[in-house]
Amino acid sequence: MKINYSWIQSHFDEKLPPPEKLAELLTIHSQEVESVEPKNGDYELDAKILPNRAYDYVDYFGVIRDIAAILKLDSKISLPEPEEREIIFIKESDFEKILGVKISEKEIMDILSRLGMEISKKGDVFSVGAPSERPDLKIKEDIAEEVARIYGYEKIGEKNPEGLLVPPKRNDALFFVSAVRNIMTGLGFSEVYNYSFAKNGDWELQNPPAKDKKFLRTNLMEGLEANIKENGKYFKNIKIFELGKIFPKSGERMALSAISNKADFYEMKGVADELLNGLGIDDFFFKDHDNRVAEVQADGKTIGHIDTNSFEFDFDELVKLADESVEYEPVSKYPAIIRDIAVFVPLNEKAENVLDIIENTAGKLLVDTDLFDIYENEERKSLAFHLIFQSPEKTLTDEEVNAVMEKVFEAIEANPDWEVRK
Amino acid sequence: MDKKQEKTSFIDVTAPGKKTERGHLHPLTQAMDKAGDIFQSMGFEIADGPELETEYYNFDALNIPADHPARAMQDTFWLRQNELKSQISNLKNNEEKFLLRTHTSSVQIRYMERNQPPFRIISPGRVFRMEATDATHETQFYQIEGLMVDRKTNLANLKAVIKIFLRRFFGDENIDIRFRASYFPFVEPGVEVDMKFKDKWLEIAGAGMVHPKILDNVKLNPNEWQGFAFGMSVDRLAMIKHKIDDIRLFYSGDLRFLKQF
Repeated sequence: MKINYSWIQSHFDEKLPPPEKLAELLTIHSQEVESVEPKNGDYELDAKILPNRAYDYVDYFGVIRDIAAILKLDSKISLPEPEEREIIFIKESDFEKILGVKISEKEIMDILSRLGMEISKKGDVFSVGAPSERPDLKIKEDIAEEVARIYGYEKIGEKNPEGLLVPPKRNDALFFVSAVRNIMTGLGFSEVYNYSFAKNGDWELQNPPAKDKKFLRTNLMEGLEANIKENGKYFKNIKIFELGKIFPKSGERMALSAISNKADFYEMKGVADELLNGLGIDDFFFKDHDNRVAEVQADGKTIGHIDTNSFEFDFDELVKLADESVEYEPVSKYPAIIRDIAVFVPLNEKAENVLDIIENTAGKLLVDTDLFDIYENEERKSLAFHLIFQSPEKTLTDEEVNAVMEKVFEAIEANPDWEVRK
Repeated sequence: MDKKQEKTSFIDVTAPGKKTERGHLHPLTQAMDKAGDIFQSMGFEIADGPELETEYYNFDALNIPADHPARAMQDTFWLRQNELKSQISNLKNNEEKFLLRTHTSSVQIRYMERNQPPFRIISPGRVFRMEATDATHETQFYQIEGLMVDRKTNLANLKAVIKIFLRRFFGDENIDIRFRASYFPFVEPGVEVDMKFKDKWLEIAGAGMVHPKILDNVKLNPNEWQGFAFGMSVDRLAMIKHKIDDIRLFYSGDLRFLKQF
């Protein structure tokens, strides 16, 4: 709304502050003045009228009343007495209760009457009659605001809140969000934020921001793949992840996705292992999947998928499974004995099947198995394992370990397609 | 023995180290973490809520009725009404329209419905506005909403909390703030908060005393409980802090930008 400075001045006998100063006073106490332009020897103030004051400013007199109150001047406007006034009651103590500052009765009365209100006081209760051009005034808080803005918010001093010193409750979901971010950056992945909009999806917008952004995204992976493509112009090795909301048919889920442009399946599986272990999730396994390389299962549910160089997890499921409690397992005082075993198996044999046989046969002296080498030729492949033996009670002898290894060899060669490489 | 004499091969300490790379957290993550730490140290709990929101939580419960001018102030992304709605449980009623939340103020309502006062919460999160994008406007950005309600929390307390937060966030004890008269339907009085940063006044937040209607909507007695609420853009905080001149960089996925943080 454009208001001429001379028009404002014509309503006051006293000389008003210069246009820039007046604009600043209005901006602080009333309506934001976005510009002051010289025009035909006058000045034009462009004020952005707040939506609740539109009615009051229709005839421009709102600004006169505001200036009269701010500068404590008497204006030369007399409006016909409104037919009706809305009466609002407010206790004198309410002002301090809401604003945190004590304003004198005289000041309160002065401000409100210059704003065109009819005001009286009985006991400690003010009765404020709001004029009809102020339909925005309905409750005592509205009256407190009228007084506060004219009195000046700058005169309200800061006061630290009082209250009990109780540590805030932790938000578990956010705690694990933060844990995942630390794990992923620790593994060298950088975090990206992509748009929630996508070309395809289940939830369609009525008013999409662009033709190719008609839907809410149903996965994070497409965004990450586009990031890889863009960044490929400048970087060779790109490792990125995103944690964000996706919008499948069922509504809204938090997802976690990561991609590493140079990685193979085993590398991403290693990242997934480290991530899940870092969240305290131990009980999970990998299964073949029809159109992606593998799915990750835990607690009887699919919690994520791994593709060649990427993965995506249902983060809401991860939070349910995550466990931050760690129980210390004593480190054995006795030395470990390490034996290696290499097994020839057909090309399509899964490492897990060989591991199962080893672990089920070796018994409790075997504390860890580590697949450290896979070698393939045209007919078959060789899987090489470190087997780590240790007892919590004593130093193991070679004879004891040899006896276990014999059993393992026998169990493996019980399968006619497998052969222990000697 | 002198260590140098033990050396068997020549080490060139001026040659570059082998490249090892850490991952980088997104600058907005870092800003929200920092804000979260500051507010938690003042006893605020971090609350969250859905991005796909109902009309009730985003508007009606916040005293923004259908014909209210404030709904025009925020251009909203609305979802097409379809069969998917029925799959979402706990709807207030089946007639409700879905939208992308335009502020995280909706989280206030959800939190107050489920908890007993006193409240001290902040809710950081992604919000959406239907607007043309440019260097300072995006269709999505992040907001931190704060709420403090007890028996006597007042406007002077709001001033103190916001000032402490901004001083800690920017690591500058000279930061000053001012309140300007403003209007938001969910607060009364409502103010705009400006921050004096390096000798310039910058708009930084909208704030005020929680409107009694909001308390009433979540079944709290406004004569017993009172408090303040504020909302600010995380993107804007991060842009000021790091001198970033284009908001769109946050959502570009461009590692030349992201690796600087």
